[in-house]
Amino acid sequence: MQKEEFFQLTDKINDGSANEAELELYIKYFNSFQTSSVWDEKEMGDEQTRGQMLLAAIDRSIAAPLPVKRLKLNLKWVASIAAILVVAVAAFWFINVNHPVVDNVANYANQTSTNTNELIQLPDGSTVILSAGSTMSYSSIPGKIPVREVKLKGQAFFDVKHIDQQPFIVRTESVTTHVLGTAFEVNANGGKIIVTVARGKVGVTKDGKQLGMLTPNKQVIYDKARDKSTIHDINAKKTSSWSNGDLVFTNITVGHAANFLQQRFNVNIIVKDEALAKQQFTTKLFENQSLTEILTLICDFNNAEYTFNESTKLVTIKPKN
Amino acid sequence: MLGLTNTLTDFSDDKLIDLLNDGDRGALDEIYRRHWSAMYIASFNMLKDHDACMDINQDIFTWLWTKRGELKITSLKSYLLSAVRYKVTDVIRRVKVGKVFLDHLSQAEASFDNVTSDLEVKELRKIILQFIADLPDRCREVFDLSRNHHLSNKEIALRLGITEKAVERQMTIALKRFKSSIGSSYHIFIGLF
Repeated sequence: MQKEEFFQLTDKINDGSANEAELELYIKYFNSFQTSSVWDEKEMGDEQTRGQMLLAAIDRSIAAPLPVKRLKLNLKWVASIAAILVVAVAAFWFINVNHPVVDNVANYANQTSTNTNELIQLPDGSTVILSAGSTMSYSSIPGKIPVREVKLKGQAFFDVKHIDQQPFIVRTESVTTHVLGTAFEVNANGGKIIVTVARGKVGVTKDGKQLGMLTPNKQVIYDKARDKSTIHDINAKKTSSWSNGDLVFTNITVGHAANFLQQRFNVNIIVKDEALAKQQFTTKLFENQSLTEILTLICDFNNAEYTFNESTKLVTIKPKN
Repeated sequence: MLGLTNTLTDFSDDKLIDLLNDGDRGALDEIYRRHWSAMYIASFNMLKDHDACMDINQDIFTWLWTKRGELKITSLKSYLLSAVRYKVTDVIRRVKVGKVFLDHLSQAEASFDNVTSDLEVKELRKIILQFIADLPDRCREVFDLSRNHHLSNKEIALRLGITEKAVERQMTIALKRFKSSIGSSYHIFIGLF
């Protein structure tokens, strides 16, 4: 068999269109390549090292849905944003929702992040970084006072766009968090739900009963088993690790991506063209990708080009001529 | 990562699958400890490329974990080997094949034994169906390039290093799955792009 012929065979196996005879033929080829059944250190390197590398890689790709890690807020993220809130909840999904959930208006469909963190743009202009394995939905509930509501299972950063007279509410189990223009964190790890405020003011209620109105560097800890809450002082200036991991951009505008990159890399980004700034795209960023790698990727996707001045930290993105 | 306990190492593969189905992370680690090396060797024999082998074996174990709760496996060892056989086809085009590989290809048929491998074929078929059900990455990628970035089949083929024919097949699968998944999974499908 020739190379191209073999590739056609493997393509068919891969996409599921191979028939029995082709499956059998492929297996025979595969088996004929099995010339060694032991680890050959000369050719393959150290077995133990390789095994550890592979296990670490597997760990990375499945670690996130494991018990929720303590979230920490990186103030770099908060810099120019109206409000950011961070929510982490254990794997219970709205057992206790007091309000009827309106699913028919301006909804953002259930969104599940799988192996990577995902950057999601909400219709109101807010941005969410949904951690791997988490699920959320968004609805805008019309009325005298329109309410923006997110239901979350798992972990997420919320970068909430401040809109006058439009509360932003995050519902998780029995605990509801009202955004009042602020930066804070909610963590429900095991039997406790912890809300920590970095900036501004946050109202936390449980089944409609107020647990606390928190100011910066204050934390409320709600113990589910004992149904008791306490308020503590805490240093909220901590760095976030999970949200700096791999990240999927789903239908994000170039302008929004630019805002996001400004904070992550501490640079200024100008998008020269309005149409370009509104253009949507989808891509995936990896944990250790550099700014220039990401910019190249974004430009590729949007038929644009960029310049980066290292000394002034200024990035300019414009359409390719 | 959970540490391994003494009991886990004593369990049979079947018992480990049960535990894995219950969401026991330690069971996955024990399955890994038992089988990774043989899987890696099998993929390396074929690909001779560490990056590619890392990718596919990582995918398989990640997949096992995400499918916990619904795994029905009779023989773990042959199941994992079938998974390797299938996943190799994900990356085979990416690997620079050398002269040894080509020589082997051209001479392999003569050395085939006549032992029928119905079970292996069956198992590979099963694996393919399971993996395809999740809409494979390449299929998704092809669909995305076509529908969201408006590339022609030829452009997609060039970009991904696959044949135009393969692009067509991937599109057919994507559309088929798309049609059959309209309903609750519709949004999730859209969300992938």
